[in-house]
Amino acid sequence: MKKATPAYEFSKGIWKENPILVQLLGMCPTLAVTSTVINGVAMALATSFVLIMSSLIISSLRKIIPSSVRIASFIVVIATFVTLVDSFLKAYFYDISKALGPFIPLIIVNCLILGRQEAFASKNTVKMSLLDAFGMGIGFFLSLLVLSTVREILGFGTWFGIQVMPDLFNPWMVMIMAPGAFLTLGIMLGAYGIFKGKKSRGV
Amino acid sequence: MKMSETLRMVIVLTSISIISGASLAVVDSVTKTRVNLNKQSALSEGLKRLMPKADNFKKEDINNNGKVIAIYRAVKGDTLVGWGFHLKGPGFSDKIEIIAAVNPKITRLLGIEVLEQKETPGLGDNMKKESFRKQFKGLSINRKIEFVKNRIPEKGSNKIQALAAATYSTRYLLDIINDNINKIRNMKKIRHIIGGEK
Repeated sequence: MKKATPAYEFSKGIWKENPILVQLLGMCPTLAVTSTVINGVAMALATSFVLIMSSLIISSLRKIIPSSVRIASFIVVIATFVTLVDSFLKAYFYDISKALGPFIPLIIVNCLILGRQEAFASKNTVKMSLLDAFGMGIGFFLSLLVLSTVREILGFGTWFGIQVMPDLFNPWMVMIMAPGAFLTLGIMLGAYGIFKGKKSRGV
Repeated sequence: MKMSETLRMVIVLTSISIISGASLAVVDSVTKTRVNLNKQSALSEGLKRLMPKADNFKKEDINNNGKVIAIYRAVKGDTLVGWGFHLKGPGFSDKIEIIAAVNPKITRLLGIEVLEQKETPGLGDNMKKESFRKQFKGLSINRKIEFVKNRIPEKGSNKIQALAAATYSTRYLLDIINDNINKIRNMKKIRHIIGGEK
């Protein structure tokens, strides 16, 4: 294992231990809300915000929270921030809140967030935990951006709601349905695997 | 002094919960008015689109077997130009909320607006689209509104073309309209305003 330098803790979430492509965490929102880029981006930002804030609180309380009630404490902290985000979106970004519907409250049970609290924030300093959370958040964001870009362009012919495909293009209905999410994610995982495999063999 | 483990557990978890509850209460009180405002403005914009002639919408709550339905009397000056009914009902995925606008006598639909729905993206949620919703304009309320699949319904048949591959969403939407509007029309309070004739 590599030495835990700040730079490593930050960068590992983006590529080497990407939460979607490597850890396969947080699949539910990943598959469900990425039919359009705007929804994918909003979900990634909301999740990242909750992740960063929870890591901040949990890592600063890590010496106070007894290990027997740690999971309960994590969930209360996470749920607080999720509810906060939910009210904020409802008040200031009503359309996005309507589009994401029940998936915002479901961030509470996103394993990515709970996983980082248990695996990292509860054992590391505030500084390292924040770097870890930012890295993981960026990794999550980028994966969702790629996934939703592919799905929106093929499924609607648009990107961020702007027409990018010629008028002749017939949108692939399947891409905005659940199977489209699985297909795209599978291809992304495969591509990641090929790339990583080649690199480690030195090809 | 060493605190017992049990006591520490209780104290830590309780304090975390209290702080969490308190911060949520603060956030809720800050955002509540804005959230309601958003919902209200979506509703009044919908009413205006459906009945552009009206210059005022007077809200009234009516009781339908314990269920409160908000109805809006659309007026231009003193003349009644239509009604807006805020209707809710189950959809294919979740609750569907619509505004149904009708003429003053409550015999014909002027149109519908979809306020909230979580139907399948790309299929059922096409009910938001103008091309689908415009079919409701002019349909009679005296007869049940029905649907046909994959073709344009005959003129005067009081039917609409169902959403492609979303028959259930269409059915639920029609149920909301068919079930509620007749009931509202037959209420004593409403009959009194529109007169006895059908």
